[in-house]
Amino acid sequence: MSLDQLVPLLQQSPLDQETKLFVIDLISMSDDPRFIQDVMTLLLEWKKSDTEAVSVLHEGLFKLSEEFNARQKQLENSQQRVALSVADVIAREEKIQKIRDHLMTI
Amino acid sequence: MSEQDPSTKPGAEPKQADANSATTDEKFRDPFSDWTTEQPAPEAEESTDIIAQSFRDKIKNYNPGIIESRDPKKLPALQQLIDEGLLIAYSVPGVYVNKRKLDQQIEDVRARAQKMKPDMIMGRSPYPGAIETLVFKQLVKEGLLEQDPQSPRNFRRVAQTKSTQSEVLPKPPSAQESEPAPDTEHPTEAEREQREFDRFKARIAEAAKEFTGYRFNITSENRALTQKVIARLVQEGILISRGSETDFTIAAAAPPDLNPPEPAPEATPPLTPETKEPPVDEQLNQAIQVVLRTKNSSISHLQRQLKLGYFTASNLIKRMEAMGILGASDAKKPREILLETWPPTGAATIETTSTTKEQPQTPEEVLDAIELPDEPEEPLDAINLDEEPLDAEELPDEPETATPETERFPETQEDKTDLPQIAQFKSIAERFRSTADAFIRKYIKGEVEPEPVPLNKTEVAKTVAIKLIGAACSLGGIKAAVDFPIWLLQKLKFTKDERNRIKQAIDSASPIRERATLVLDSGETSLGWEIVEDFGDGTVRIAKNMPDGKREGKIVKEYELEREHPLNPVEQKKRRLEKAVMESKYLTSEKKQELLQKLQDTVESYATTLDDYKEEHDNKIVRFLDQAIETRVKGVTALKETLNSAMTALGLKAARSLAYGAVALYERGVKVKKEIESGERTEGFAKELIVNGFKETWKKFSLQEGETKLQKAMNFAQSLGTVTRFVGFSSIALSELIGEGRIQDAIDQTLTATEQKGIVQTATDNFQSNFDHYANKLTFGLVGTETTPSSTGSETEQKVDTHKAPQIPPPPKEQAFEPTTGEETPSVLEVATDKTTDQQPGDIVEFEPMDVIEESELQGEALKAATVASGDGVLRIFQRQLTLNPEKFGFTGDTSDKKAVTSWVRKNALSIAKQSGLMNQNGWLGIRGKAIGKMAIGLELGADGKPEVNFIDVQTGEKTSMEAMREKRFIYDYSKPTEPPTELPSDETETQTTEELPDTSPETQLVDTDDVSTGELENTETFTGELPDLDADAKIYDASESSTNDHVIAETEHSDSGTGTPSSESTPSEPTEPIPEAVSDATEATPQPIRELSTPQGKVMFTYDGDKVTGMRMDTEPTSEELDRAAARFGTSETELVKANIRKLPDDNAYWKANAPTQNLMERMNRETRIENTIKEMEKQGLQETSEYKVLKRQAGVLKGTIKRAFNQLGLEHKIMDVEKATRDVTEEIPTDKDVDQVTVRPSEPVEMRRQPVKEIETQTSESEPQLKPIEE
Repeated sequence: MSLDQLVPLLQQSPLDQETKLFVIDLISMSDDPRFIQDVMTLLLEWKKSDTEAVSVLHEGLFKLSEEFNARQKQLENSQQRVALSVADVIAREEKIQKIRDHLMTI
Repeated sequence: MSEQDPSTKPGAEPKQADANSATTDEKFRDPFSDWTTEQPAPEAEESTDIIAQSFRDKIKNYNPGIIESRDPKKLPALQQLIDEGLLIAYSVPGVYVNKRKLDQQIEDVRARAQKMKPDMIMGRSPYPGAIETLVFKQLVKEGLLEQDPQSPRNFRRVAQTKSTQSEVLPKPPSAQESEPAPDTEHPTEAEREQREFDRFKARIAEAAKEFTGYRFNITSENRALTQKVIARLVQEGILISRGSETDFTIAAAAPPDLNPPEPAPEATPPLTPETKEPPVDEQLNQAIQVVLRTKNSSISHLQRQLKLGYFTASNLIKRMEAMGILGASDAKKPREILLETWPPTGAATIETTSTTKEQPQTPEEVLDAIELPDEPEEPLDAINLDEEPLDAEELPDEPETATPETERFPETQEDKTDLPQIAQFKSIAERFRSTADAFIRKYIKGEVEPEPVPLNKTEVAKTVAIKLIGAACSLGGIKAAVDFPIWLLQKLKFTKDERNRIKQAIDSASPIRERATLVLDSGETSLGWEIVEDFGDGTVRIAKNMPDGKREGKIVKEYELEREHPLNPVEQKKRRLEKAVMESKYLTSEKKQELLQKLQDTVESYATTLDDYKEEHDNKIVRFLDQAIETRVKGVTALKETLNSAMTALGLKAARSLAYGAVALYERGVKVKKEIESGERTEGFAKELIVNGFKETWKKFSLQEGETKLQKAMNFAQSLGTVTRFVGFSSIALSELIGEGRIQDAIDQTLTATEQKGIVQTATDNFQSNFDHYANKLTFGLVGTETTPSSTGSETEQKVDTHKAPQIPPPPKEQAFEPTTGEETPSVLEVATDKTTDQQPGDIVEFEPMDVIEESELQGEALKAATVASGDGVLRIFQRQLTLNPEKFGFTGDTSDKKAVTSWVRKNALSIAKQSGLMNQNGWLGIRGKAIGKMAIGLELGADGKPEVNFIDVQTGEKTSMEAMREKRFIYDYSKPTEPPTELPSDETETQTTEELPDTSPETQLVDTDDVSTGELENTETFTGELPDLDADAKIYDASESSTNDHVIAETEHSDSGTGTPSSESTPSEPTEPIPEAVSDATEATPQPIRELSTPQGKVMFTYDGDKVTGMRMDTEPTSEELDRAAARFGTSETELVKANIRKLPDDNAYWKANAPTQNLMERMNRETRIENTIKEMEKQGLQETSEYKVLKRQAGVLKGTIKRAFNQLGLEHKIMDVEKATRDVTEEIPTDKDVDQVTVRPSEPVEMRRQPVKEIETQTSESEPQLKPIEE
C-alpha cells in the first residue's frame, strides 16, 4: 500500500485530527515496513468496517421504509374490504327496494 | 460503435473454422495482449470501460446476432464482454456472437426439432451466418439433429437424443432443460428434480441481474416438483423466502441483511471481492456511474444514457436517493449529487486491502503477522525491564483498555427480530475488533519485539506513564470528562457527504415522505395516470385513459402531482361512500346512520393503526440509527486506542506530545484569530495566543473560572488537557505522580463501570461523585509538584498519593469546592486509613497498599457477628463482635455482668469506629442494604494488640478494601450538612461532641419536627435495646456515659436509613426483639434506602432528596403493548378511550382532539400499573414498612383517584367497578383532591406527619362514597 492510498483515506475519513496525527506519526517515525504495512491494514479495516456500517444503515433504512409501506398497504386493503361491504349494503338495499316496488306494482 | 465490415462474407465455412479454430484464437488474442502491454493502463481502462459500455448498451437494446469489429482499440472491450458472458468469439476473427441471441435461436430451433418426427429433414440457408452455424452445431452436439449425408446443407432429426454435452459451446441450462425432449429416456424423479433445479437456478441467476425478486408460476401440474425445487433453492441459499408460496427474494440481489447468515470464522477475514455480495445490482451500478460521471441526475438523462424506460430510470434514481447518493427531488432544480465516487470506499478498499496483503516479504512472515499468539495471556514484555520490573499486571490489560467499548456490544443488542441489520452492525464491530486485537497482540503484547532499549527505572516509569496516560486520567472521571466532548463530537461527526446521505436516507425512510412518493410510484397507476414523459426539470407529462375511451394528458410538476391527489386513499374512499350513503334513496335513516358510523369507525381504526405503525417505524429508525452511530463510535474508539497503545508501546511518546501540542496550538490560533476579527480580543495575535493563553488556562486550571461545578469541572478538564498538550507535562509529571500506584485497580474499575453503564453514564457518575475531591486533591498535588520535576523518593511518594486521590471516595457534597486550606477537615476515609489521628488537616494522607489479598481469620460465629445484617450500622456490627468475645478485645471485668459488658461494648465500639476513621463528627460510613450477608466488617487484633477493622467479602472469605466495597456500592459516606468542627474529637471530648450531634443530625431534626424532642434519651434507648444481651439492662446503665454512645448509635442507624422513623412506636419500656438475621428493613426502625429494585418489568430506581424519597423511575420506556396491558387492567382499551373522548368532544376534529387526553390517560394507567407491580414486588421482598413502599402506595392511590375521575368524565361509569376494585386495596391511602393531579411522587414524610393527612383522606373517601354507590349498584 502506498501513501497515495493513505492520503485520501485520511482526508475523507471522519476521524478527528488527533487520530490522524497518530497515524501520520506512527508511520513516519517507524522504519519497520511490516509495522507500517500493518498500521495501514488496520486503518483500512477500520475504514471498511466503518463504510460497511454506513452501508448497512442505508440499506436498513431502506428496508424499514419498505416494511412500513407494505404494512400500510396491507392495512389499506383490509379497510378496503370494509368499504366494499358498505357498498354492498347500499346495493343490496337498492335491490330490495326495487323488488319491493316491483311487488307493489304487481 | 461497432463497425460493420461489408467485406465479411457470411459464408465462412464452419469446417474451416473448426480446423483453424486454435490458430484463429491465437491470432485473435495476440493483438490484444500486445496492445495491453503497450498502452498506459489508466487511460486504457477508462476508454475500455466506455467502449464496453456502449457495446453492452447495443446488445441490450438491439439484441444483434453478431458484432463485428477489428479495431484493435475495441478489442479489450470486446474481450471484457466475452469474459462477462455476453459475447462469444466466433471462429472468424473480428466476429463476435451475441450469446443471448444465440441462446434464443438455439431454443427456437431445438423446439422445432423436438416436434419433428425422426428422420425428418430440417433445411439450412445456403449461406448460413455465424448464429445459424452455431445453432446447428450445438443441436448436432446435443444429438438432436445430424447432418444429412446426402445433403450436407440439411440436417436430419435423429431417432434418439444422445444427450451429449457440448464442448465447444456450452448449452445454457435454461435451454437445455426447459422442455425435456419427448423421445428422451424416461427420467427418474430425482433426475427431473435436478433438471428443474438447474433450470431455475440458471433463470434466477439471470434474473438477479435486474431484479431482486423471483415469482414462480405454480400450476396444479408442476406443483409438487416445483415446490421441491423451491425448497432446495431456499435451502441452498439461492432464494430467500418472503413468506409467500410463489414470491421469493433472490439472495444474490438481496440487500446484505436479507442474506442468510453464514458461519463466520472466529477472526473474520476481511471481505474480498469474491465473498462480498454486491450491494447493488449491475444496472444500478451503471446508473450510478453515469450520474457521477456526467453530473446529471435527471431521469430523462439516465433514460437516454442507459436506454431505459421511464419507470426503470425513475426507480434507479430513487434507489440512489435512498442510498444517499442523490439528494431529494426538488422541482426547481436537479437532484443534488452527494457523492464524488462510487463505490465510496468499499470496492477500492477491498481491492487495496487484498493488494496490501499480497505484498509480504514471504508468505510465512505474513502468516506470522496475522496469526494470533497461542497464549493470549502472555504478558507484555515489549519493554525490557531489566532493572526493576514494573507492575506486570498493568500490561496485559492494555488490549482491554484499547477496546473497552466493543466488548460490551452484545449487551446493547435489542430487539433482534425487529432489526436484523443490528446483527450486521455487531459483526462489523466484531470484525474490526478482531483486526485490532491481532494488531495489539502483535505490537503490544510483544510478538514483534522492538529492539531492547536499556532503560533505567525513571525511564521505564515514564514510558508506562505515557502508555497509561489515558487510563490514569480516567481516575476520577477526568479522562471521561476530557473524552466526553470528543466522544460527542465523534458521535455527531460524520463527513458532510455522510450527513447528507444519512439525512436523505432517513427522509426517504420517513413514512410521510414515502407515502407522498408513492403517489408517483404507484399511486398514479392505481388512479389511471401514468407518466409518459419526463422533461428532466421536475416536470412530467402524465396521461390517463378516460372512460369514454379517449386519452387525456397533461403536464404537471412532480410536486403538483403529489398535491393533486390526496395522500390518504382510505379517506378518499370514505368520502365517496359517505356521499353514496347519504344520497341513497333506498336506505333508511337508521341504516344510513349505521353505515356512516361503520365508515367512521373504519377510518378511525385505520388512522389509529397507521399511527401505531408510524410510531413503531420511527422508533425502529431511531434505534437503528443509534446502533449505527454506536457501532461507528466503537470502531473509532477501538482504532484510536489501538493506535495510541501502539504508539506508546513503541516509544513514540514525543511524537504524541508534539502532536497534541500542535493540534492545541493550531486550534487555539484559529480561535484567537476569529475572536480578534470579531473584536472580542483587542491585543496582538501573539500576545493573545501565548500570554493570555497561559493566563486563561491557569485560571481554568485553578478552578477560578466557571460558575457552576460542572463548568468548573469542564474548564479544569479542558485546561488539564491544554497543559498536558502544550508543555508535554503528562509524560514527565504523570510518570512521577503515578509511580507504582494502584493504577490497575482504577483502570479495572473504570472499565467495568464503562462496560456496565456506558460512557456517558460513567462520565456523569464519575463527575458527580468524584470530581470535587479529585479536583481539590489533584490541584493541590499538581501545584505542589509543579516546580519539582526531578523527584526524590519521598517526593514521589507524596505525589503518588495525591494522584491516588481519585480512588478516595468522594467527600460529602457540601464540602465540594471548598478551598483546600490548612483548616480543611480530612475526609472520613482519610481518617480511616490514617492511624495517627493527630495528623494535620490538609496533609496528604498515605494509604496502605491493598494489593495483597489475605484471607480473613474470622470464621463461624465471629464472621456471622461481623457480617452485615438488616438494619445494621457500623456500630452495631462492632457491638456484636465485641459482645461475642469481650475478653479478646480487652474487657477485663466480669463477663457475667451484662451491664458492665454492655457499657464497655458501647464505649469501645464507638471508640474503634472513630479511631478507624469510620466515624467522626463530619459524617460516618453508611451501609447499603445490598451489603446484607455479603460484606463483613470484622474486628481482629492487630500486631499491637489493638483491634483492626477489616472489610471482608463474605462469599470468598477474603479481606478486601473499603474502595472495593464502595465500588460494589455496599457502603457510602454520609456527611452531615453543617459546618464541621475544626478538630477531630477525641475520646476525651466525646461527650461534648456528641452533645452537639443531635442538633445537626437528621434524626434530631426529625424528632424536633415531631415535637417529641423531649424524649431524646428515650429515643436513644430504643436503639440501645436492640442488642438482645443488653436489653435487660438498658435502663440501668449510667446515662451520663452511655447516652453519648447511644446517641451516636442512634445517629448511625438513622444515617443508614433514608427516612425518619416513628419514634413513638418505640418506647424505653418496650422489650426489643433480637436482631433477626434476614429480616427486611421493614422490621427495623430505620431501614436502608432501597435506591434500586429489580422487578420483572425492569429496574426501578428511587430518587431521593437527601434522605427523603421523592419518586421513582424505571429504566425502560413503556411500549405500546405495555400501555395496552395497563389499559386492559382497567378493563378498557385505547380504542375505547378514543371513542369515549370523541363522544365527549362533538366536533369535526374530535378524533384528533381525542388523541392527547387518551394518551395522557393511558400513561397514567400505565404509571399506576408500574407502581402497583413495584409494590407487589416490594411486598414479595418484605419491604412493606419502608418509606419507599409507603410513598409508592400513596402515589398509586393518587393515580387511581385521577383515573377514576377521568373515567367518570368520559362516561365510562361501567368501568368504575374495575377501578374501585383496584383502588380498594389502598383505601386508606386515597389522597386529597389537591394531590390528585400530582404527577411526581412527593418527598416522603415521617409517618407521624403523614398520618393526619391520611385521616383526612379517609374522611374524604367516606364522603365521596355516595357518589360511587349508584355506579356500584
